[in-house]
Amino acid sequence: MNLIDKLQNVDTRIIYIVLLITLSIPLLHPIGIPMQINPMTRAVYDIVEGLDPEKDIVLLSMDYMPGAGLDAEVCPIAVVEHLMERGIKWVAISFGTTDGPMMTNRIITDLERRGYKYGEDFANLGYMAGGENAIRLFALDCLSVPTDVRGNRTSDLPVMQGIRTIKDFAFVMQFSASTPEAWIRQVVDPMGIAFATGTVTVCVPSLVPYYNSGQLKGVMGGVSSAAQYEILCNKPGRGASMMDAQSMGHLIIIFFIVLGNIGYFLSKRTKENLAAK
Amino acid sequence: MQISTNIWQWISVACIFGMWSLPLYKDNPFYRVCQNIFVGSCAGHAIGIAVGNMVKYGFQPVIQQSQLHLIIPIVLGILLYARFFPSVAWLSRWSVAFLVGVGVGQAIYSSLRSQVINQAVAAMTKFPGETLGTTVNNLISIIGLLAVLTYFLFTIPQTRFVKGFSQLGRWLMMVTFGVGFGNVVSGRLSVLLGELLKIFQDWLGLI
Repeated sequence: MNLIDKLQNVDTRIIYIVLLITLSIPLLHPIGIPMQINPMTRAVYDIVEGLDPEKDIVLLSMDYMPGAGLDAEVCPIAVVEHLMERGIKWVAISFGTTDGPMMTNRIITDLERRGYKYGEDFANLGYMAGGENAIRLFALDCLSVPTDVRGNRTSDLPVMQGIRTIKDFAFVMQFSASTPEAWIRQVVDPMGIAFATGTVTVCVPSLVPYYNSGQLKGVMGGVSSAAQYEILCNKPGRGASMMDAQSMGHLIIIFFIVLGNIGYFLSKRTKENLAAK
Repeated sequence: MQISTNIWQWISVACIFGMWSLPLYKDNPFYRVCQNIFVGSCAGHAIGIAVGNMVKYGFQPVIQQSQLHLIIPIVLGILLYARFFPSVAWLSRWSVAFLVGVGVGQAIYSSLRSQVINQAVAAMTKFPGETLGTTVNNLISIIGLLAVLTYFLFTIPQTRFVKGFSQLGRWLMMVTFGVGFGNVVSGRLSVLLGELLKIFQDWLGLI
């Protein structure tokens, strides 16, 4: 195998090891690569900043699973931190995956350790089966969920006082590893609520039309959005700490793509030269 | 460096190394064990939540609050399992018919409104826009929309002008696919970074 063939057939194990090394170095020794704030992320921040801690309650639909990794988890962590910092109460529920309540509990456990009160500052209503129909049912009657994950009656929770329909929430945000079309179809358009979404990076391009049409008031996508959100909040967290490594990873991928293409064009030219002879 | 003393962190990191052993080495028993732990724990958790849901939304309201109308969906749910018994398999069609009917009924009207009409309205941009930048953006948006739609016009002959315009649509789609691929790479890197953070931060305490 000559050099041109080797360029096109780099052993994937070499790519993985180079990636692991390249990502590990900036994680351990951050470089501080500057980043720009995306308007879609800023829109979510502005909505949360505009909420009134005295009366506004936020609904979070936690529809991501552990398999989606940190790409899905950093956005809700950043937004919940902002909500708690501003003293805004929130309620979580899951429609998209049975793992949602478990992922919410991961956030809640940390908050309780820091002195926040379950039931007063936040609550986890658990998983409601039925997908799109369940979303519609909950939107029309939030007390259709009889108990939360801890067995408390939903109507008795201090954070749920005054909540009857989804319109009683000042802001609704879904965090998922997919797209929020079900929410847009069943709740956002028919009921006209303020709705934003936080999803994994892969899904962001398909959500831009909904943001441009105003159906989504804001979009957060993966680690980069979470990092931007943390910067906006002046609280750099896990998202921000990963951005240097993420940028280095992109450079490595670009390097290997360029390498493969150089090999492709060189081999094409060699074949053409041979054919001409 | 402060290595975690939490046994779950050790198990978690061992599973990460187990999963990595497939691409970095080859299929091996360690990988299989980790894979089975993942599949088993996911399935167990999903079953637990599903049973909890049946109790919370089905049996408890019927028994404790006498909401007898809930017996109908419970019976329809049980009928789904009739398909495993050939003599009464036809009964499961009632439940499927109900599910399909409700699903289609919910989706048809709302999809048309949210994903066709509202998107079409949003595509009707103001021209000229408030600023030069907005005007250019709107122009790109509307030309892009028409070009991509032209690419999928199969009922008119692809004459010189139409062919050129549909080629533009094809190029715009290629750019979109490129953006999509870039996001996939970025997303996968984020997942890997999450695992590295777990190793360096939660397990080894290096960060």
